[in-house]
Amino acid sequence: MNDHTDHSAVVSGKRVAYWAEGDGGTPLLLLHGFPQTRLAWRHVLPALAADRRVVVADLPGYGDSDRLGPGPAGFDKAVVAEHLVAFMRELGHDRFAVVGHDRGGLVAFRAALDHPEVITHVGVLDILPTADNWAALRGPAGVFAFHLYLLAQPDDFPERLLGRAPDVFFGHFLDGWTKVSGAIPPNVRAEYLRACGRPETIAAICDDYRASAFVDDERDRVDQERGARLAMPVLAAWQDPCDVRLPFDPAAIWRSWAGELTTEVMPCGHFIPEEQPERLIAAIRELLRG
Amino acid sequence: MLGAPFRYQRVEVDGVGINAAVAGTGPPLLLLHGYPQTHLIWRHVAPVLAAHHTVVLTDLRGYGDSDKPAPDPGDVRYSKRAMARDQFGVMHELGFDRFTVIGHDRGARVAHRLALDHADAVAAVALLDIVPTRHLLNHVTRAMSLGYFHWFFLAAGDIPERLLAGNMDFWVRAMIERLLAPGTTIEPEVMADYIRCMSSPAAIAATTADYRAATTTDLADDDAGMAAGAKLRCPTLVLWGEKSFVGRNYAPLEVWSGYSENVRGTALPCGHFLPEEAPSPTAGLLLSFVDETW
Repeated sequence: MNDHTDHSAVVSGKRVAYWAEGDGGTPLLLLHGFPQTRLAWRHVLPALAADRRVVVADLPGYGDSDRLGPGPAGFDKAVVAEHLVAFMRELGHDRFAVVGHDRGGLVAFRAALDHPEVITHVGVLDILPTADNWAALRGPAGVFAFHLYLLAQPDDFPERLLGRAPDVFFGHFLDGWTKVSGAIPPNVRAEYLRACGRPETIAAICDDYRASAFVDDERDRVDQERGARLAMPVLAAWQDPCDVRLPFDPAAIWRSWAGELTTEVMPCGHFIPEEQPERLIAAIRELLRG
Repeated sequence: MLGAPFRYQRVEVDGVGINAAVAGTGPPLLLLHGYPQTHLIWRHVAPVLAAHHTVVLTDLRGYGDSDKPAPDPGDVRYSKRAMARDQFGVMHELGFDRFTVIGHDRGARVAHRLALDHADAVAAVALLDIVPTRHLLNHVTRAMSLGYFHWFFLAAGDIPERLLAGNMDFWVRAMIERLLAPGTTIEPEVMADYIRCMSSPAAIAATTADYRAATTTDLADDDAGMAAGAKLRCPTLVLWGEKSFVGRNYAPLEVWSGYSENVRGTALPCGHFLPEEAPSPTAGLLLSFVDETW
């Protein structure tokens, strides 16, 4: 499945599980999304590590990384971003580029907004800032985002529901959001299901989505209202919606946050790092040249 | 099952068997339940109404002990229009060509459509703890999508059926308990019957189709109706729980006045399940409404 060497660092008492390869250049941190682990970067990591230092970490609460605290507050993207900046500093990287997919994209976005002196370049893959995402969901289109609402329900309700059939639930997204067949082979799929289906990870995932509903949204809106902008080169890539008419324009939304913006529409489903690794590698190289 | 004076019968409407219980004499009332329930929601209210009226309680198509035809790809079979036609047919078969319809939750959506599509038959309509489907879906906010998460989940293709299969005991309980006002409970044997009726694969398929239809067929029907100026003209009573999501997030009379020319209504001191949480005030308000409008 992969031949990377597992590492872990302890930052503020919390373990971060990661891979790190390559030397030189601007260091690059890669962050995965839902319902995955750092394994999502298995194709991209070796290619980019040919000429630079690349670190691939499990997000807090996901994979083999510890969650940062109880409840949704532990998944406040500002807290997670701060933690990963400290983690990279621990590895000796005071300035670095960050590319995140899905939930990892939310963390990358927040790190870039809050730490412009640290983040040199930022890439966000198939995700919108939380406030824009909530604002964009209108009418029956919410059906395509039902997990945002289900996972944010209170009182352990989603934990208890998912806990009864985690493979059905997480498998639905891994299968339904992939367009390039074979991009997530059975052994990788099984590893994602194993990693996400543990009770503590289910709880972490639900709190991550509660944070999006009740913490990140407000935080993004405050930044939006004060006109905060990303100060570094930005790559925003998303899946080709094909015949689905999106109820929002990703390019316009990212343009509202970014000055130096490159956009790319990828001919694939949601899992860009696994469905279109070659195009993504090229796009990240281009970003880092900027 | 309800005891005497209620008598059960099965009414076939266009090949779909609808479970009905009937009691009383006088002006006829049709009572429709919601999700994930059956006609048993009226167990405390119906005997009070039956002292003065003919009361017909049914299970909606797909629910309770009514037939559960397999859903169709176009979501027509569980459109509120089709579900309303069943109920109109039941009343016709029972010999009632003019009646008052009272609905809660999904049953209120069926009642709304019934009063629009069969206006000559409906003397008055009472709608419990809903705002119109079209209003809901045209005003999706973060609060709405979190409060109504099941609308989007149940409408999301085959995942709800796959996730809920074998887990309906948990699901039905959780879906009811989350909307009951704190401190209220449902009798265990009633809850057990709700769970029994929701647990078969046919019931799960039917009830998810009901929600899919809301975001597709029903919304299209409602949009077309509104574009043609189709408002309710009969007396319309709107009741809601002051602690329910509807009571906390909408101005129900204001919203409904956009959909009916003759609206009145009030909040009751309860959560979503008015007939079970506040049966006496619910029955009292329904009786005076029917007295004023029949």
